Amino acid sequence: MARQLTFRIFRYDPADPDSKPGFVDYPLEETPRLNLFVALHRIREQQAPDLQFDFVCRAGVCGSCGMMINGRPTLGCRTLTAELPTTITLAPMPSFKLIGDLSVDTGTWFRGMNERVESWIHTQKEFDPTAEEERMDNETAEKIYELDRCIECGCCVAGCGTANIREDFLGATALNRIGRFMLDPRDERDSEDWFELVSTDEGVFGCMGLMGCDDVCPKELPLLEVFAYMRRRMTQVATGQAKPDAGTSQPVIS
Amino acid sequence: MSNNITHPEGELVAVKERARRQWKLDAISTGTGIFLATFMWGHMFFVSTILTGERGFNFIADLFEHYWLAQPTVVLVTVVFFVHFVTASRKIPAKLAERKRLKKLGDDIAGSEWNISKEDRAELEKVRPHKETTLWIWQVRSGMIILALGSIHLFIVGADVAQRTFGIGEAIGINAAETMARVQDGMWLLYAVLLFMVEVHAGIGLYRVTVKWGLGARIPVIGKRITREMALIMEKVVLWFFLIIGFLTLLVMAGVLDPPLAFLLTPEGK
Amino acid sequence: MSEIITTDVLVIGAGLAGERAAISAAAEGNEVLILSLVPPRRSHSCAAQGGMQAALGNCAKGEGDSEELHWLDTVKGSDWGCDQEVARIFADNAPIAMREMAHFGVPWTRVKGGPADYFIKGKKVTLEEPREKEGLIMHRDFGGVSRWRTCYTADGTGHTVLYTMDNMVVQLGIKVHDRMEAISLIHDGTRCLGAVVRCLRTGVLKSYLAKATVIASGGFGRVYKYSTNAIINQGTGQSIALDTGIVPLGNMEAVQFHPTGIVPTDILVTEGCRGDGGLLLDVDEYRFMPDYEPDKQELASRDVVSRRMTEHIAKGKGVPSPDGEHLWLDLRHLGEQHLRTKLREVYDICMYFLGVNPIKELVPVRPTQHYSMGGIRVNKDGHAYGLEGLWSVGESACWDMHGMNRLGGNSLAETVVAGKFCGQRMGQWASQQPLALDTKMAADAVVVQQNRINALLGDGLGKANENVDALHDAMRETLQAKVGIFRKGGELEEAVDTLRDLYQRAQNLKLRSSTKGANPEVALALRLPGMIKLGLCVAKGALLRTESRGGHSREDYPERNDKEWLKRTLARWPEGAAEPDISYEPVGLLESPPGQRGYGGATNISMEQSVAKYNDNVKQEWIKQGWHETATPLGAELKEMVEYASTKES
Repeated sequence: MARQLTFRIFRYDPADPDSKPGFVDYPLEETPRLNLFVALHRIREQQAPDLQFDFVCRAGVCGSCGMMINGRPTLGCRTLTAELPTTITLAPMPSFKLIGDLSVDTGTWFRGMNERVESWIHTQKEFDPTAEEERMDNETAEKIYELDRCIECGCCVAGCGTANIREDFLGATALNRIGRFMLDPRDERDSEDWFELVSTDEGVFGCMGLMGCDDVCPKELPLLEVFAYMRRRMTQVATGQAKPDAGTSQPVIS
Repeated sequence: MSNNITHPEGELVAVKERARRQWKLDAISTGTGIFLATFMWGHMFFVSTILTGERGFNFIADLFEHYWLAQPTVVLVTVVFFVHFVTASRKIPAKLAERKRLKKLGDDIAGSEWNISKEDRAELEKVRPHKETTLWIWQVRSGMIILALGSIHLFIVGADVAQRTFGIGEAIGINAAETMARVQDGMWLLYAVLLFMVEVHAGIGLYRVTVKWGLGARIPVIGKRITREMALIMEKVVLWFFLIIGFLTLLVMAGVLDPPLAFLLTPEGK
Repeated sequence: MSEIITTDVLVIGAGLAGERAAISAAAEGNEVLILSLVPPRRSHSCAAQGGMQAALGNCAKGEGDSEELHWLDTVKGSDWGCDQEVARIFADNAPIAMREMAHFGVPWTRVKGGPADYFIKGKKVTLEEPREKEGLIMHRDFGGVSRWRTCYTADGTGHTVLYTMDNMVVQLGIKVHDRMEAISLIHDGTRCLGAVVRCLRTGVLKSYLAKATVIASGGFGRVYKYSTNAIINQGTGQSIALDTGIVPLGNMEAVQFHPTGIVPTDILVTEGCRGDGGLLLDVDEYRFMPDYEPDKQELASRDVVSRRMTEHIAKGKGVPSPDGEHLWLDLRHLGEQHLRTKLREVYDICMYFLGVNPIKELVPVRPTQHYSMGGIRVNKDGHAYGLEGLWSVGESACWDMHGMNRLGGNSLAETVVAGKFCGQRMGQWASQQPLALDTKMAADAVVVQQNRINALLGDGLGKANENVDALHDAMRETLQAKVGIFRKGGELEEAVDTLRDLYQRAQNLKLRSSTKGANPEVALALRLPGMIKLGLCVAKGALLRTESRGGHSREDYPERNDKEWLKRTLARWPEGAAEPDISYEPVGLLESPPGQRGYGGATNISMEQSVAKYNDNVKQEWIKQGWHETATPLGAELKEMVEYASTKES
């Protein structure tokens, strides 16, 4: 017999003065291989046409559907109801501005993050359309790609103890992004530049080491290894042992 | 960097100084933690000389005091102890609501509500691991207890050492008989709790330090990279090793157990 | 009065094409603003896995590659339905665009000199990668190509390129207003002035006025029931262009079905799976593709592989399952190392969504709607027919380098090439225009849309009784069942009738909710009539095109008919009409006369007209359809054709 599921969903429309935040129960019968993408659309079609939530690719690559599923931040599209008890509590991720119901404003947050860490290649070189591309060994490219796989879903921020209590904390995604550019030989930022970016309490030295980010990252990014590398490298800078550009010679990812 | 454009020069310097200060505070709390943990293990080894009998213990204690090793150590450890407290406790959220939030989040990430049944718990923990928040909370709790009990202990030992050094009273310094008498008079409770808390605190602390600073680095000789799993296993081994030694020591001091290693210092057959 | 926001260039859509165009336009000194349904990095470009075609010729199997060969592969792939001049622009600019992306920061997979193992046509081979090319951009094999030329980053190409592109947008300080949907264009019949935009956070309407409005909203795959597209690919950009009644949509019947959508969830696994050596098996685990396509095997063009798979299933060789019949994709021989690095996304998708481990198990696949070759008809600069100041790039446009079928890896490359090229032409054009601030027209346009929303949320027109979701489902099922891979006249007629009826019913929608803010039911209700219109353009175009070419395959007209159908369908929707007006134009100047593709096995009815005669007509026919004069004269980008024989495969 198919299980009878109860979805306990957080409902609140901040734009509506009459709306009060709280949980509403929606019953739904379980079908084989049911995931939260399908389940939430069924609930919207059959029971709550104005229920707000975000899905885009529904394939685990766009990062839209981060939500708290029974308290744990993860991607809705990739979560099968079979993994869950019959009561499934869904809430929007904390740390982000609520748009309504399960929908949060990750777009504004991540744009701010990208501006803050200056998430782009800093170079004085001009692109020359007639020249061959600058060479890079494949191992370096693979290492950069490993960290570039972040999908900005926000789960690491929602699952971060420090970010939950400190709004200005950069969060794992930002530190990972910095790590990605530290590794990139095309980026001309030097150790001193990185130091002032990550060595504050908002950066890697504000991390309490609860490791929630690493446990919830849907892409299984080597976040803790990146942070450990940063701490070591920043300590070299602070103690004056940093090589001019340690760059790619540092092993980050096993 | 565009910081040069957006910030006036003065502010840029301020950012750099702030960054350096915060690195320093984190490095100090980590460094003092490692120092205290290392000291505690050495301390444990020396105290556990009681396992060989009173003679062994007194020999070591006497040695340290005679050669002026104990006196500066007591002062140094006391200072480091408080420095560690001040720098490490910066990370503890000030508000109760914040601490509650941390605990709830940690429990949720650990998947307390993802379990279908208790039996499946072990299976599910493999898929959705998370114990570090719980460990962190215990690190804070143990830290607070150590702060209280450790201060008492430091005071007593400091007094012992000071008496001999400055020739006050009977002036025999640290010795087995007095220590054992103290333990048997009821101090065993303090020492048992302190021992447990110190080992837990140091074990979790070193695990966290390894993860925070060492992950991905190659271990010399073996050449393997440090992983989180390895750090956790090391932590468990170290924790249990010292807990067992510690409690045996305490049992001998409390007079419940005869020194099991006494034969080492006693000629065969006597 | 509602808020009015002005800018020089308004880009609708923040995927790769839109962002690249925005960067080009900004480089020409324009103030640029991008609107997006979702945060830019969530755009569907991020889901592209396989790679981007560019004739760099860096690896062993890419040796001797050239823009010429890339161009010819593209023309063949299009079944000679493309604009060959545009295909030239594309092939010539693709290598520059890839190198530029490398400069911007894409971590392309690079050439590693020395011996390397590959699976080619089912066999393991060791090739010597050139050491002198060490560190240059690497390529993988893809369908319908004569050389390996797909540049990639593992199987996250779209992701890395989109993130790099958005990094550039952030660096340049280009404003992005996300969760905003353009729901109508503001125009006076000859000139586009901007768009009416609904905020998906609050439900509030605003108007955006600009010198140039660029539609880069991607495909409309979601009009089909089973599509690999993201759920935002509902053709919002094409619909608002069609709503003008002036701008035509080109070749809407040209819909691509990708051979490997997984069953059931319809998520795409990349063509790179087959490019890297993956095989297609049937119910007996027999490899059937070499029987149909001895030369290209699994790597014929997508339209051909999808048709062969459908044919094979029809022969009773499909694998039965509760979710319908499917075939198998075999990746097991590629090995764990390859699957967990170069095809990591594929591995994850199989594990998470199917519970299938591709290292040990077969992956269930079937052809699934994937790409729309058709879209807003533009000239080679990207300027839309009929309305000055309206531009379009990427999948939403019919720039027309793809004709009736596109090659894998060509569309992702198109986004950056067209974005760069058309973005520059558009930027130059915009920088010479005055900003026409007709606030009255903007306010009127907002009122029209506000009335629509009020009607939906109120009692409608009295007889409102239609359920949004029900009509939405009916439309998707109709297109899926009757306008699929193989098409028949009778079914297409039924589809047109059904859709016409649905369109009428969609005028009487009755919402179940009454929330005024960011109500998702309102959003769908606003989109639905437009989606049905697009569906009707597809169905009617398919019904009228009595031949089989590229992705359009008629069972009752199996030949490609160059005598009568070497033309592009244009669909317009006059105001108040019940269905689209269909007309035709020549595909463009022919440099390569229609020939054999070398795969697919179809017969052709040859052209009667001479190529020279055909070409003579092109410009005047296009002008009749609203074509704008381009920055360089028509045909300026074409080259002297090299001898056809030299382009045959080695």
